[in-house]
Amino acid sequence: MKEYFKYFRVLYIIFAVMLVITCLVGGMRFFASRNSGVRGNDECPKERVYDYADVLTDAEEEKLRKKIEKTEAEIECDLVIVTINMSVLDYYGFTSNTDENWEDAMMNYADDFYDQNLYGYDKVHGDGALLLDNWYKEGTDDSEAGSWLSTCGEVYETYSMGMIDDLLDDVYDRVDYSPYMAYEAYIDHISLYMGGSAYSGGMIIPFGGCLIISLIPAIIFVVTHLKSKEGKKTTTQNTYMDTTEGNAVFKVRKDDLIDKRVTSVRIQTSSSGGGSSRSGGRGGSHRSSGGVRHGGGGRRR
Amino acid sequence: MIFKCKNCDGNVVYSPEKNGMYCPYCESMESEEKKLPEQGTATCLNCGGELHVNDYTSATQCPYCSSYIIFDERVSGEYTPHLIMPFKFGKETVKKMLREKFKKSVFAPSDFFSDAKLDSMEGMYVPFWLYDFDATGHYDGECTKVRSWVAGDRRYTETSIFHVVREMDVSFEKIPVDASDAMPDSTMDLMEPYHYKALEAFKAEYMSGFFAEKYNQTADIMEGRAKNKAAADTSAMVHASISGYATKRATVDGVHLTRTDANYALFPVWIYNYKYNGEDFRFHINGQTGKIVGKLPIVPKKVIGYGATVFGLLFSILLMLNYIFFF
Repeated sequence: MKEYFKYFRVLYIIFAVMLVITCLVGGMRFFASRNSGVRGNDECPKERVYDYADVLTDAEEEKLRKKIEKTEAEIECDLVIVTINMSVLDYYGFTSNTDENWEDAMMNYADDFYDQNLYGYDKVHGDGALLLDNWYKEGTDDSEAGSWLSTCGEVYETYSMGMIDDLLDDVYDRVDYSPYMAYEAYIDHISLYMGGSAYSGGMIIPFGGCLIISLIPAIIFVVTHLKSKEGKKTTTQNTYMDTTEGNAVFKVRKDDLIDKRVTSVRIQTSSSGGGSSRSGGRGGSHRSSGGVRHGGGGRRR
Repeated sequence: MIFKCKNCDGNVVYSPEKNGMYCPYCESMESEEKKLPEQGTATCLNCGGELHVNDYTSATQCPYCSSYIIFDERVSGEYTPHLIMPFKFGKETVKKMLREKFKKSVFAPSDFFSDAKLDSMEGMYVPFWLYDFDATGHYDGECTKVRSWVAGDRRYTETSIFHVVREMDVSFEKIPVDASDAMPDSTMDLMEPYHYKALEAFKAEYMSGFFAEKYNQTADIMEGRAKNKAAADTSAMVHASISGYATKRATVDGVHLTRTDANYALFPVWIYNYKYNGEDFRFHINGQTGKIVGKLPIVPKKVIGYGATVFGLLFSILLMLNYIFFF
């Protein structure tokens, strides 16, 4: 047993140190949780899911509300879903259905909805995000179908254009066959990047990852220790060479240059493409008509 | 023959620790007296007990009286060794060496290092042929050097082709090849090198206290292995001189060898046999340098248990890291 602990002393010391740190962190979190998680804004409505387009069943709406409630408590950000089936272009007086007009109209609708309902977890117009999903005349030439993400406060600070695009990809991948799953993906995405537990169950390295990362060194340990080597060769090419002077001399030693060729090729340069950075936050920064700083982005379907 | 003590008539043996002939019965030094009664290989010269020896055994220990007997006809005439390297380390020293080398090997069976097991270790003089060669290494071929650089938007590559010729003479002395069928060649190769400064002209006294074999094969038959070693070393030296080239293409690449001498020698080896789970684990220890060659027996259950600990501790540490940094 003494031999065993001596063998693993370094690992056991690390384990003990980690255990102490874990206990300290756990204790600190316990006390911190008793003093936090309190909403700083009671002026906004309790409702988070506005299914004006009626694309969700009552049961799905209820499940989304519960998921949002749990996620909001974890990430301390308000999450709002609004589905509509109306012309936002007409609503804001745009006469032509251009991408630019559509984006302005969707952005204004989302920002106004957030601002007018006084959303924000920590304060009015504080931390939160709103997903506006428009189903108006989907699949037609004058379709205004598409989604817009409006970010505010901490979510605005965190989400870059790249992250917004990533979130919209998640939504668009699912929305055609299940709007419920698409909106769930929106909640999960925000949860992941705002420090929630939706994706990994509280772990950046998932449980399976921990299992594999630990298993591989253990298997290598077993395999390498099950075999033992007979010994190492300790002779060299000079071991049995006669060491008297004049031995091992080159009678002939020639390195004559007989030909030289030069070839050349053009260097291919690759230019880096555009695209949005995934880091940095503040993607799609602007001010809403109410003067609130928002971020966001969207695209048509 | 047998070496007897003039004082007590006990069997005198060569003691590596005392560096001389020693009587373990009366503890006297240099009191030996060679006795050469008429002898076969079937009976002990001391007690007349039956000896079990094979065709090559030249020295053995009587299983009844523990005397060390040397078979005169197997160390004389054509079987007289030219040289002998006396044991430098005795059994107790080798036991310490084994324990020291494997002190960190926690997966060996617990009785592997016990006195009871290690006392079964036997010292043996293994027959070797020592070959001298004159070698000539030849190389003739085309080799290339490649250099590249960038100028503007183009990458230039210059390939220089050289005609490379090497011819080298080298002499080798005392390349050892074991002449015992019972000794695995690869193991004996791993036991090298021996330090030849300790080689002495053959004296039968050094054999008393140890087992020994006469050579199993003649120098001519065993020459092939020594030739391979000399050729490989010569070729390595020639190729080491052809450096800095990106590619080599030989038209001539060979070694010519001439044997100049071959000597019959006895080299000291301690042999420790250990049986575990029905398998024999044989350790060979160079009796002159102390180099240990052999595969350590492993207890699989112990390895798996330790592996499980590695897994358990790493897994726990990862979970804690997850909790501390990411929860």
